[in-house]
Amino acid sequence: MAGEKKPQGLQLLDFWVSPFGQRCRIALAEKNLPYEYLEQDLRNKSELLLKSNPIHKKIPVLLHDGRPICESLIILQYIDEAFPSGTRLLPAGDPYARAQARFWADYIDKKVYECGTRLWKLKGEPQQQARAEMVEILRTLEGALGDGKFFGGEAFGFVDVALVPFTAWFLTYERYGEFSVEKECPKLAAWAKRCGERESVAKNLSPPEKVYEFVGDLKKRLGIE
Amino acid sequence: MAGGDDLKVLGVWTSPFVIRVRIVLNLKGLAYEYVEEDLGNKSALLLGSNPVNKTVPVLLHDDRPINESQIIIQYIDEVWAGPGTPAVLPSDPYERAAARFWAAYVDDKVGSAWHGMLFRCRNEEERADAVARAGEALQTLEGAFEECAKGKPFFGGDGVGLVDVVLGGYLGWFGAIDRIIGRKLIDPARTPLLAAWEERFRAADVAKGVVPDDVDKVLAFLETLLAIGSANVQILDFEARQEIPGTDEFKSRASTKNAVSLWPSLAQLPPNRKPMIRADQPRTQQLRCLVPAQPHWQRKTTSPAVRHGRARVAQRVKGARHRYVEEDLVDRSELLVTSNPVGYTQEGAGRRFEPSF
Repeated sequence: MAGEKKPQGLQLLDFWVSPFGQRCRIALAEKNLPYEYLEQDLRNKSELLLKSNPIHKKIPVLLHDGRPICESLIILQYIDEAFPSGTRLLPAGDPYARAQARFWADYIDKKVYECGTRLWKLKGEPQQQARAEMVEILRTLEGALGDGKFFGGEAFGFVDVALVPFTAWFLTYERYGEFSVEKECPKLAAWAKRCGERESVAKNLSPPEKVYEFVGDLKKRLGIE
Repeated sequence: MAGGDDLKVLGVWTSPFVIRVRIVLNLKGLAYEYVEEDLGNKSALLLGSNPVNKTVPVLLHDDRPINESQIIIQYIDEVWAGPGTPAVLPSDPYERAAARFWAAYVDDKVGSAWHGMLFRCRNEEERADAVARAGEALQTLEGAFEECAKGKPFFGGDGVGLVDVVLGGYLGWFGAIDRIIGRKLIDPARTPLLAAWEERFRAADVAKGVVPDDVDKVLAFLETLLAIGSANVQILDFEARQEIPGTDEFKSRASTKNAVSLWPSLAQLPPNRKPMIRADQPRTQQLRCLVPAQPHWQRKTTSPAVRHGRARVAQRVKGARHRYVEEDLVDRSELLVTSNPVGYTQEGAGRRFEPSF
């Protein structure tokens, strides 16, 4: 492993298509923090991953000078707190706004990925159920967005970072669920576009077609068709 | 509370999520009004304050609501901070991340096992599975305690911290579980550090009067919850409606035998979905049974597609009567959304878990 250690010694153990990993990449970019990206093979987990996250054995894991931080929203808060100068992901000095932001990030964490997985995995009535739930989740999030530019208002922040990687999955959800995000939630679709114009997002999201391809391959590997 | 902050907590006295918030308020020396909610009949204030999840606890600070227990705790910690005020989270970012990690772990693994042990299990075998999962989680937490406490009495060090209050909130229920399974869930033989921690925590001033210690009372409360939330549902009759072409009318084709094949989910009764049962008026045991209409399914026969299915379902809890309400799954009624007081979220995907309770 030749070469010098990066300043501040940040490394990210990640998997290319993971929306949870992308949250971390976007946050690090927003904060202008250099880091070493280490792609992980999830079917053959590395010694480093297993040592860094022995409890869950999952990515993403942020290593800061060798010390691991796990769970994407916890990583985001760590980045925000350990590197407080510059952009703040969570609004400083406003505990109520911070609580609101944490609430929506938690909602996104509990609902979007799990429902989305059911949407592409299942068929028939359970898939219809997942589709209906996904539309409701997106509508609820659109309600939280309101007429704001971003979830926190004028500034791109914690909730935006938490949700934006899933916009790369909208195409997949739309195709499997047979609905259109643009039609059901036009404001949310507009927000997604706005976010996509930011460099940190554009550079770190997977192209939606690639996500769709990935899900198709995953289904084949899992023997679902 | 003239001149002070106006603090109100909406809660249920046994809820681990409510208890932890109250412990933190005690820790900060804050006075607050406590409002006990009836999960079978949630107040307008609760539903208005937490429209998304409709769960307790809710903290109202000068009438502004904050929801989700761990978020509430961090809010309290941030607002009431400073020299002389005990902190719930440490100040070092890495230690904060570690505390958040373990707190999330507790709710994920211990929380889902707790739910399984008491509310979700349909027989003793399933309960035993959940107890085993809790045991594994507690084993891991034994190691975490050693790491976090480093010889001090609590996860948080000298005083209680985030992980202490999050795990401590479950102790009221653990007392009840200990009685049900005939041994201590936090087993001194297997997890000695945690067993000692449990005693210390229960004895702590901040926990007094808030962590339930009357096991009989807790078990009686469990019965009421189960009566509200669970059901032994059987399909009484099933009506399939078929459009008569060229008219606005339907032809009714009743077929109980086909009900299960057409609507398998009803027979399986996945606990986190339909049907939802609600005790409208607990005294008379009038129950409304909410069943979604399924506009999209089709019969796999040569018959023409049936456009709507409805099932009348019997509620077998203590011979209660039922009334049928048809639901549109996409455009849910207020009643459907406000029902299901002991709801479940999906396990799996490893996401953090907080039952609607």
